[in-house]
Amino acid sequence: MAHSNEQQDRIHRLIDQVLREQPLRRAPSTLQSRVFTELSRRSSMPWWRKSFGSWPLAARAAFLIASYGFIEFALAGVMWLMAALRAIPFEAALNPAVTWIHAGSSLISEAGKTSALVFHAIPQPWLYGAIASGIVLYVALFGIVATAYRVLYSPR
Amino acid sequence: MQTPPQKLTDSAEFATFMHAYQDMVFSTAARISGNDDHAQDIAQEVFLRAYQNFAHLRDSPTAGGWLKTVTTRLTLNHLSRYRRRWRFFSELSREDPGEDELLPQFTIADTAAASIDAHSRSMLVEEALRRLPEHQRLPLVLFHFEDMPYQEIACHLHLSLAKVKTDIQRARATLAKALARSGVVTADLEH
Repeated sequence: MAHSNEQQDRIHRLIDQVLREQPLRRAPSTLQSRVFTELSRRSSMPWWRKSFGSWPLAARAAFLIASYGFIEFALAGVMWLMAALRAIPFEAALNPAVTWIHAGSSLISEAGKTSALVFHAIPQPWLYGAIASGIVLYVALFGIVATAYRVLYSPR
Repeated sequence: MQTPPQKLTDSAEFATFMHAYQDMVFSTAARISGNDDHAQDIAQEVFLRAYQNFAHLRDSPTAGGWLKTVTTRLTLNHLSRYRRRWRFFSELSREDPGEDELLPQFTIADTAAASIDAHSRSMLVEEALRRLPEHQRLPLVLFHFEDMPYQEIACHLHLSLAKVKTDIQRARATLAKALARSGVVTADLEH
């Protein structure tokens, strides 16, 4: 049976009253000194380490001009690269790369075959034991992290 | 208390301003976050922002409201980042009290009769609040302390309206039972 509306209203009023009567919590005595220390640290930082909005006007203008120049330069670089790529005979240029890919794939294939041989050579009980140990370690690690969370964070 | 640095203009005035509002800012952050260390970090950030806007805030009658809004927003942002990281563990095996359980009628205990002084009572209420599961405490605090309507809470917490209402109802029931156990409220079992 769900709580009746009347019961819900009663608890609502009670909790509302209890919580509204709660006084403010006292801020830690260190809060003010922390704020002033941080303000002091920030004010002693060089202008270029502060937010862009607090940079000197000339520096902001120079930065924007330099950014524009950089974008122009990057675009010109991309255009030049594309033009240069169009001029390259690709089939000839790609031949060495294709050879390397073939070599790489045969190496991987050989490694796979060797691994399969090793795998089959291992007795089955050992394999099941290793898998079971892996699962147990995973569950144990999970339990440790969950417990650590409960102890260190959750109850505070 | 550390002396405000000389280079900071208005630092004495700001210290007075901070003194006037620091308990409110800290309480808001602590109740929403449920963690005093995080609350102190958030309160520090709120006052750093207040310092940047001090020219407008120093004589503003709405400074308290501004601080409260910034504190609530920063704490909720902090929590959403924190919850994303820890949601799985924090909500693991959290069980809501049975909805079907019949609750007794509660009344607030007379502090004199119950031999609980106001300070102890306040501590007990804070402790009971802190012990609520986060998914219950957070909407409850936003509703009762921050006067946020259900719809706004649902929006902030990315939950459905029905879920928010259910969580708040269950939080009230859990809190009422915890307060009854600690003697802050009395439970009349005959009702």
